[in-house]
Amino acid sequence: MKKIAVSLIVLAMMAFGTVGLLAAQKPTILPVKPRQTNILDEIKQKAGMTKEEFETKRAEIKNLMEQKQTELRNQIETKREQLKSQIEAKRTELKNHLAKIKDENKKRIVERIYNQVNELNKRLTAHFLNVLEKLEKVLERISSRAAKAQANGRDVSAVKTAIDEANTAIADSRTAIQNQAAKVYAPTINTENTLRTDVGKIRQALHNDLVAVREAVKAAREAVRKAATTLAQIPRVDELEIPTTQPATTTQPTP
Amino acid sequence: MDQNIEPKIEQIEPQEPKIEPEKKINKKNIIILVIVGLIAILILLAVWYWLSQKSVVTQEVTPTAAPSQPPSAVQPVPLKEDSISAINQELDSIDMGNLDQEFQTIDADLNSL
Repeated sequence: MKKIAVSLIVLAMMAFGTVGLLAAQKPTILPVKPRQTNILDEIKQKAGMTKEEFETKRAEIKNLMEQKQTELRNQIETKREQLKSQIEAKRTELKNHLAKIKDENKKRIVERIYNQVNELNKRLTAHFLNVLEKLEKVLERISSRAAKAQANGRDVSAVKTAIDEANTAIADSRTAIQNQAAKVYAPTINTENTLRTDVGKIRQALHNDLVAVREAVKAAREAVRKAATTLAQIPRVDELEIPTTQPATTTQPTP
Repeated sequence: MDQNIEPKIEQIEPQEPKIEPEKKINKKNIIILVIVGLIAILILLAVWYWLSQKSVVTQEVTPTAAPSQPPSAVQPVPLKEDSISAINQELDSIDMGNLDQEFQTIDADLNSL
């Protein structure tokens, strides 16, 4: 019986160990895929890629892109949750500062502006993040089309450069959005006479910051557009496809 | 009577060594069964893990396919999603928003101070 018990324990430990090892492999397998972020690079590395391989790779890259987008959203959401207490603390602080203001209506307006300013920041950073995600999807499509052109022997070096520039612009605007989402705007109240100027300062600060973020996102959009325009200069680029199974036999003929 | 009992005892005694190997065989059988059972469990666990991994991959793939459908459904003529026309349409549909309009409510409140 002892032997049975010992062997049972040993085997149970082996079973748990095996499951543990398999589970531990999960996070190590996934980061291997992130290395491949561009289908154009993939097709350059592997000449003669079949349509099936191409679609699989593209799906992987899309998944990775969406995974990154979700991560960023979660990061921003976590940051916002942390900011909630900060916003609340500053609201209390503002109420204390407003004690010196006699006009109750003005007090209410100042508090309302404080809420509106911080709420607008939250809403517009979310909006810019959505724009950025759309741009990333468009850029992925450009990369896909460029990869198909590359597979058919077209020169895509200019498109590749434009795609790289667009990726950089997207990364820059992502950073700008992240930083913007982490900001809290609170006015410093001096006197009742300077109330409008004091509160106007946070309005202006938010406006300036959002303009800067918008310009960064606009720059990313223009970079993506440039990549699309460069791609469109390849003759009959829309007709080019990856061979279904046999490379270089079922491709669309080119003039 | 005594003579009758003695041979009975003699009959029982030689049976004892026969029982021990049977017990050993039974024990061995049990151990083998347990090992086989555990190996089967291990295989089942491995299969379960493989299937769960597979389902994760399919779950990851399906949401990517779904969002790509609405834009093509909106278009009257189905375009390849990576065609130049589709790319340009997608780019043109991106709305940057109107910043000044967003500030209108704040500005109205500010002016009333």
